[in-house]
Amino acid sequence: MTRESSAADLLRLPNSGVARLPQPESDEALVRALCAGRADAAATFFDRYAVHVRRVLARVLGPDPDLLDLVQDVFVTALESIHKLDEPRALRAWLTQIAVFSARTRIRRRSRWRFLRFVPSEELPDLPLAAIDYDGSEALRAVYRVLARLDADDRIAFALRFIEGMELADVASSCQVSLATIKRRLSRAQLSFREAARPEPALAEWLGGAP
Amino acid sequence: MIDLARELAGLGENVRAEQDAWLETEHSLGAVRSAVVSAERPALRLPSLKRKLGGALAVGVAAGALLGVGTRLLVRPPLLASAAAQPLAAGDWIRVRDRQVPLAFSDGTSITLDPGARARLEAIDSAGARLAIETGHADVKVVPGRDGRWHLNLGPFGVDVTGTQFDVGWNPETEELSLTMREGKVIVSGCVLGDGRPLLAGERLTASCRDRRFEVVHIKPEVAAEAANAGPSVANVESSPGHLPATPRLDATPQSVFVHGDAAGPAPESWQVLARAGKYKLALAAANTVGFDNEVTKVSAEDLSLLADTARFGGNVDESIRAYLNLRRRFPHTGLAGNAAFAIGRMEFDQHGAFAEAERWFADYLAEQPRGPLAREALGRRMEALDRAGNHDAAREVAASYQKHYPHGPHIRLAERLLGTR
Repeated sequence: MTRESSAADLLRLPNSGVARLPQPESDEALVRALCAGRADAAATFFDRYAVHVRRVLARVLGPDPDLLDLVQDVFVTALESIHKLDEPRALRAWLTQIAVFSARTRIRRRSRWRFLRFVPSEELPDLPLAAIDYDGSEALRAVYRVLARLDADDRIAFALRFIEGMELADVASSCQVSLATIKRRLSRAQLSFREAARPEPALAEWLGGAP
Repeated sequence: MIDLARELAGLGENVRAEQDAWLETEHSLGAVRSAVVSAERPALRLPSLKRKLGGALAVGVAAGALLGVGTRLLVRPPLLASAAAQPLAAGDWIRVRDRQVPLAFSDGTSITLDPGARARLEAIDSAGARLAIETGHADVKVVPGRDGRWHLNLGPFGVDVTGTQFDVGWNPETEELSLTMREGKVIVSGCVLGDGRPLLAGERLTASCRDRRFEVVHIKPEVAAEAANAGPSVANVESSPGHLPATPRLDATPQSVFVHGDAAGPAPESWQVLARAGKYKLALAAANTVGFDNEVTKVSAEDLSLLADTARFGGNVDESIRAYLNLRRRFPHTGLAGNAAFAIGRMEFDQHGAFAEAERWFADYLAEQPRGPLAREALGRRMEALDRAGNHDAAREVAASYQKHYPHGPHIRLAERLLGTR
């Protein structure tokens, strides 16, 4: 037996069946499809931007056992507020802003815990999960140890600019601040990073022996 | 400052290279995609991988969701439904004779009833509908909506649906429910399933209220699709307002109850389901409940790999290594066995600081899969392990090989340092 129907049956059942519309190619079409609640739009949205979101979060946060949770958070937030997006062509930039906001919240939450324990971050033992999830060199671990000592906003600007390699204007847009502000943050972050990197011998290789 | 910026850009390049390899191997997006694509928007947070509610983001999202739901409730009209070009209203019965009947809803959702099926549209509103399937099979394709609420009643069982596709059947004679998921996720409740049990894409559930048993098997997606396509052809409908005699419902809370040898209550989730949902600690606890060491000797290669990963992410390195060793013993010469060697090496390195031991595992991986997807990482790690173990001559040999094969790899600086070329 098959599920195919005859033409006569279809005439009798004009409302039956599910038409599968083509995948929206442009971001504007995708936003329209998302707002209309099209069945496949969320999948297209995720497939188009999930790797980007994961990358932005990883650049800012480094090894994090909850990275996938955060990716999920970003998409949930985006899907729930897609109707608030004024400029559909800016979908990618808007999603990046949500990812940056999520990462910032995460960093601040970590900071709160550090404060509550009254222990400097560098003296905290690595969380077992973080260590297990992690696969990288000592130098990479050192980078994020150093970044953990920076102010959250400076750290984000640093990560987007130097690790993700974003243009200055994109960093400013992702952080939702002016170009002048982002330049100030980057300037501060560079000096802070260099200073904090001095006690990290593993970074000597990556900084050309600078520290 | 310009020099410093250039220096930092170089550092960023190294971080990027390492991270990209690490993200691909450690943070697969599959589980997240499934949750994001299939679940209803407000409930998306429930099946989270390691959910930790609270904080500004959660509050912001919840507020956004509430605002969104509120807005939509104000403006959205009730859904419209039809069957065989006849408008369908709450309370209508549908009896299907010799061909399938698709019930079409104005949001694009369709529920196709197979011949012999009998159903009643119990309620319909702007967010979804409630359909009772008294007997027979249905092919369900629910369009995800931000505040969608779809519910199927099948005898004593209930299925809460968001946006998903599945086949479902209820046989009142044998009191048996069958449900095959093709896409997304549903929550099945009632009788032996207790207050609710998630069912994910690629899983097939059979549950019998009479026999007090249920079974979930994992099937390949193509098998699920095939199952969905095996059915009779479309259409002949009888829709009668209101008064088709209902099949007597079963007692939803039977007196005599037996689930896995225990007293009545919500059935426990299998460690596989929990692990695939990213709940590693719970999954590990569930695996230990049914017997971790027993599981490692009997489950499939894929499940054994999943169990090893579960133990690793759940924080029990020793159990993880035990599972990986069993995987290598039971399924030698497979890709999974090679990956197991790499994983053991990494744990010996990172968790135990056993560099010589780790080096042997990385060497095993490279011997088994010289062009495998982790070959670059394995070679870099092997070089690093040899260096840390104090075997500098061997480390230099590996460094030369690394420099030759991966001149832009994430361990190239170490290789150059060992070779004295920088």
